[in-house]
Amino acid sequence: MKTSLTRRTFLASATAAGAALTIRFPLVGPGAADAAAAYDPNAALTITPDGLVTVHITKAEMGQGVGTALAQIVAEELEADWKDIRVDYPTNDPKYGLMLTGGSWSVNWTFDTLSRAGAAARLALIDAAAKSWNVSPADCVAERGVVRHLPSGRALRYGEIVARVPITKTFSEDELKQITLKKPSEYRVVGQWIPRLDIPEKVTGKAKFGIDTFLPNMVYAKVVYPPVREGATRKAVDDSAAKGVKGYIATVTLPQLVAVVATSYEAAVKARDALKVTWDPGPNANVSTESIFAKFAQAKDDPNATPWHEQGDVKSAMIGAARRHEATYTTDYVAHMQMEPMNCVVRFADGAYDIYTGSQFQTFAVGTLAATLGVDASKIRIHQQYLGGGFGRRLEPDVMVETALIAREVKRPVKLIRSREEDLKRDFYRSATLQSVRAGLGNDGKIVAWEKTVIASHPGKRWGPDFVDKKGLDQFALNGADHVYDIPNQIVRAVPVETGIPVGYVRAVAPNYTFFAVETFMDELAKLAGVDPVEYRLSMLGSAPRLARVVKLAAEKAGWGTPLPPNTGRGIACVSAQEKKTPTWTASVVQARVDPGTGKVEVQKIVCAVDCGIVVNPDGARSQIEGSLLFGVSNALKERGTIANGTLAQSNFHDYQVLRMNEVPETEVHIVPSTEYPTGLGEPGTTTIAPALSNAIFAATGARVRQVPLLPDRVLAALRAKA
Amino acid sequence: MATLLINGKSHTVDVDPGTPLLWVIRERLQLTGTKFGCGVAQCGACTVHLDGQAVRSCQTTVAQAAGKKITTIEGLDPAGRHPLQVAWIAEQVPQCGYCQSGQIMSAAALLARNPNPSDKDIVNAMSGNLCRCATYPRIKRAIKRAAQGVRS
Repeated sequence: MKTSLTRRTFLASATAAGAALTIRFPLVGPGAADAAAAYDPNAALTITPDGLVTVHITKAEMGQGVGTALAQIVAEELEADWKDIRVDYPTNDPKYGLMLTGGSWSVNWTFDTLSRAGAAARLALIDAAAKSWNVSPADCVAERGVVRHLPSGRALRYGEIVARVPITKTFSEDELKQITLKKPSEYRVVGQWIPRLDIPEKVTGKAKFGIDTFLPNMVYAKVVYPPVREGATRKAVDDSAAKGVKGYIATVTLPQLVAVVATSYEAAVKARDALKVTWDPGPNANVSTESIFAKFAQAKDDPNATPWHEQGDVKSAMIGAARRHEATYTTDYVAHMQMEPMNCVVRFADGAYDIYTGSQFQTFAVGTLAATLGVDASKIRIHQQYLGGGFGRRLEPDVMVETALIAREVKRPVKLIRSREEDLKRDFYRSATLQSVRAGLGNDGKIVAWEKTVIASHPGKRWGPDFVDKKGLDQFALNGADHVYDIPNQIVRAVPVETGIPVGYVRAVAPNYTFFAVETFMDELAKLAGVDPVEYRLSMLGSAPRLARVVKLAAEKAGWGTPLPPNTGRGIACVSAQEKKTPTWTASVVQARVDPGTGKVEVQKIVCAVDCGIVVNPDGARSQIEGSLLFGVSNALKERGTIANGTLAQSNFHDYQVLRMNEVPETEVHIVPSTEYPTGLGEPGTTTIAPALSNAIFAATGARVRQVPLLPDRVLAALRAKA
Repeated sequence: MATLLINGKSHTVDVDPGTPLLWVIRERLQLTGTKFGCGVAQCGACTVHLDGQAVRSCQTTVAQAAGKKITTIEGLDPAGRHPLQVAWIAEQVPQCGYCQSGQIMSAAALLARNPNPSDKDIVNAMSGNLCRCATYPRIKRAIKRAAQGVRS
């Protein structure tokens, strides 16, 4: 019964930080709807005659509460009654534009578009009601899901309008842009402490994640992975023993993979274990942490390092500097370790693939799957489920591709669940890095020249030409190196290095390591200049007053400068993450105690101050900041991925340890009230922790640790170096 | 063949006695609230109760579970209104939510044997349950809230 809608596409045009990505979010002006049909004015929402408003969430729900937040944005301008709001997570469709969740972008990219989607639908509903009463729309108002004619007091609920009245008003792109949106002072839904919609089903076990998918006649697959992460080739497959396993169905041997299929998960595991595959380990069989860092050290002096960010004249300023200082920082590989191991269910029937999983990047997955499987993109349907953690892992379509290839062969729905060991060994890690920084100080201690080289593997290179810039650099491997301090002469160079270990995007991505170097080095320079680290930063934040404000706020709330017990110190770090263009201004003060005998670091307290502009859901925001800070503690204290024999040496949570409850410090979060356009919150907090903690260790002991994670042996080595 | 008593209901399943209880609960019986996280008793996502004790179902065989009362998150409270579940909503604990069934099952076993746990008791009982979203501060608050509710 839906009428055909005049679809007009307009660009919300968010451009991903210089990468060749143009974000299209097509939004259609409300189309005409027959009376009694559901009113489906645009890609963002549907109103049914029962009065329920379903907001279509094209972002992945992975714990950040995005469904609730985006629904609040729509509900605000729609003037819907919150109790009528529902959300769904639709299957991919070109009408949704770029389906990508990451970068702390969700609210930032959609706030304006979704506000206008809600407002346009409200205006169309008012128009329809007014016409039915033969009155002027100017005399009508919409409030809590009801249109009222003020002079007569007549009223129609939204559901009644949809059921009974033709809705004919449509909007051109220009008209959409011209809609006057509410002022923040008029908000009634945005900024409210509204409970998250996804939480009730997450406490009863009813919430469905990708791994909870079952299809009739479904079988289980296990892939046999090579012993080396990249570059191994398969020599022979012997499935004679596997065939004897109870429940064995088939062996699938393809150029891309070899897998077994069985009637149950445990039978598939047994058959996989019985399958004999021999491999030529290939060129990366001896790749190790040592060989990778040796390669990085060579690249450090690469005269051809590509300038990425440049201003002023560094060479002259460095020569003219009164004092110079340099330091080298390293960080190790970090794994995602999302709690839900990667998995997927695929049904291949009638030439089309129905894919059940949780994806952070459906657009990329559809393109990759269509190309790999040799079908049109319209034959790929990703049925979006809740994500049992994303953190960037579910940007990757690798497991969807494997499952689809197997499903095509076996002609039955296939469920593939990776074990934790497979999940970790086949992850796309945050790159290990080496960064060298050099600065020249003037007589007054201020920085006159800044020179930095960032050596890392760049994930975008693996993804393809759309994900690197003209110089072949992935912006997302470098963000943050272009900090916001007022330094007249700066150059940042980048050397992307291939190592045989594929890298990806792990929560907060490059700013984890770029700000570790920037903010630790800033502390070193403050010491050299003989200035308090907070004062030193503030003296260079003239062009970033919102960052200066959160620095002051965090310092004040943390009791900066007040005495602490022995071996205990406070460190600060401030960031313009995730991207300089759309920063969430974040500063954290970390208080830590160092055991001088063992080098063990206890994080005691974190005080974080944040200015992210308008806050859509205050408790959701707080929850994201808390989680991002603790993710940072886990990264900074514990997580060290090492490479041996061309693969990650760790295999599960026993040797790749993440933060547990007994290691959780007290956290205190202060959010600056603001009416600025909103940015994002899922990641910035994470990036403050490693540098603030390294700075706290220095404050406690006078020892400078320049390697993340800040492991006890590294702290001990720094203590010895100091002595 | 094995007979398992899960949430008060008897299930007969055709599996090897050495099969991990987790895979029977999840993939055979489709009680999917119990989650697979690590397979080696390191994360707690698969926590269920065996005669009231919190156990990791990934390391519990069907043979070990047979004859005992097995409770999963689906059976913790018929209406999903166990004091912990109520407290979990009040404190808005979950983020991605994947580990939360295991967290709640561990916490329920704790409160059953210690209705008034100290901070230390909570940390001791809960440090085997990982949450990569790091909702730990809220988990702690929710357990205290539920404990107060249970006592009053």
